[in-house]
Amino acid sequence: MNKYIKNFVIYFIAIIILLFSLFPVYWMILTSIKRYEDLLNPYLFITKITFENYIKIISSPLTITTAINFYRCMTNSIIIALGSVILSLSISILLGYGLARMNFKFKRLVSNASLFVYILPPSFLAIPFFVHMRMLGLVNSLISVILAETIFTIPFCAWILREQFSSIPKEIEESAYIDGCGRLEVLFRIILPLSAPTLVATATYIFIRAWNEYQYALLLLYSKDLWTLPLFLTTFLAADVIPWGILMAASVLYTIPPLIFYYVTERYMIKGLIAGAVKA
Amino acid sequence: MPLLKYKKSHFFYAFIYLLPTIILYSIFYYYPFALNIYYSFTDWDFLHPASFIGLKNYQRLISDPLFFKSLILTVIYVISVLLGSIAIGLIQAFIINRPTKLAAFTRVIMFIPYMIPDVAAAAIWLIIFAPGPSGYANCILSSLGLGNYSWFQDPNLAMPMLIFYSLWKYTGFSALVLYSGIKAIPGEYIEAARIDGASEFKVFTRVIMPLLGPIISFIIATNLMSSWFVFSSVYTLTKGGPGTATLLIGMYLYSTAFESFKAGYASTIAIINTIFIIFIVILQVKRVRGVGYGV
Repeated sequence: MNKYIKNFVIYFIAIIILLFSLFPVYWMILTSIKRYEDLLNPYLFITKITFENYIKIISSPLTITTAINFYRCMTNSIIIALGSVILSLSISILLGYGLARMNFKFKRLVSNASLFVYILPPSFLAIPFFVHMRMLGLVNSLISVILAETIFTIPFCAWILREQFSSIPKEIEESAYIDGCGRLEVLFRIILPLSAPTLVATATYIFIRAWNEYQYALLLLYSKDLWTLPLFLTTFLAADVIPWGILMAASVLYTIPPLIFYYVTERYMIKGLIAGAVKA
Repeated sequence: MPLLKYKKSHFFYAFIYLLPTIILYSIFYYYPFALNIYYSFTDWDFLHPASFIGLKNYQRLISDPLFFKSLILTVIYVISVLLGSIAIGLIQAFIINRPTKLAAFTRVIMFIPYMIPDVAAAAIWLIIFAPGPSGYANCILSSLGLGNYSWFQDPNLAMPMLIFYSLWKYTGFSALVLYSGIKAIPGEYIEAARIDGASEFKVFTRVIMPLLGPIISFIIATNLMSSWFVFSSVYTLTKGGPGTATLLIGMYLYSTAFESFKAGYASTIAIINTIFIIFIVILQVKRVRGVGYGV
């Protein structure tokens, strides 16, 4: 009897957690496929669905408070995310490998300098970063946001990659040297292929961070042609009458890529988390 | 490769590996950081050249009631989110740690809120908790005869709503980290306790919990880093309002700098809070390093 009660309690809590996590997501999808007439009806199920909100977003530039183009914003978001992944990952690989395998004078200093970046949240640097970018003439360009994302993702990535590189036995590398490989060849031909899962997880982390970025995009990109998806979404929120259906359809489209990326790489992400958490 | 050549090239390559990071950090992080410190001693407003005013900004900070209000609000926010997400996260971790299908399914689902981009998640909540009779929450409450609320626009409800939202959004992460920590505990410890006749609940509170110390410190440190200067959720949900009811530090910093254009003073706020964060994180890191189990 006791066992049944315990199981019941556990299932009950599990279901509450599920409902609590999922209900807002369900409501987002539901609102995005509701007909305009049904928007105010509070029922949990609807019989007539429509995709007109999606069609509206995809077919033409929208005029809410100003004319904005979903494709343009999507492209910019993708450029920023992929640009950050490429730049941040390549620098993190070099840094992670250097810290894992090399012994040199300033190793501790460099590793602490990157840890410091990890400790402080990005938004505190917003003012001087903005000013600095303005001085360099990089304000209002996608590069500035890519640079910001790169800087703030390097510490975590380099740290995870360092753990990964250190776990590869040194003997493998040494035998490659004996066979006549150069240093870079060893890195590209032996270390990186062996670390593929971790690299995928790291790339996902960078992609998701860059895809989410709001504050730096808000500060650094002020011409509408350069806006990213979060800026696109907040334009709706600023309208006098918020077009719920369209806003939710846009949110769905904005949410899909990170979810797909996460669930494809989930196994490795959790592994990375364990490495990060246990060895913190 | 001859040993001598190997040794020589060692330093060259160490240099190559680190060079990109050093260049990037010094130009785009530590230089702006130094600028921040410099600006905190000036009366700069983005337009006119900055003039040095010594410690005036810091004096002003001490007598700024709005700064203290936002500091208190931030502390309330950070502590509530921290305690809430660890408590709920532990329950979740306990549930997903069981070898059932429902547990595996829960593990997949409960991480969804964390993966939804900030702005999209905020938009969903703004729609569910829309003020007036059109919002879904109000629909339900008024059909039960409990009346209408303005949620994020109600001075008394805005802050609890913000905390509630953050718990929904971020608990999945704490739960997953706690779950990873539980997985990393050597199975023998748990088995030994079971053999000695401990119930599942006892195993959890007496064996697993104490061993989670470093993990909990890790969560405290990461949560603190991300929620002390929380910006995008606050900016999209309430913009610090109504009035100053949810004016957390991140928001206060932003509005001081980019709405009232007091860049010098805003830099001072940033510096002071940076010192707070470094101080608290160092305390946590010490704990993380101090405790440990032989994994």
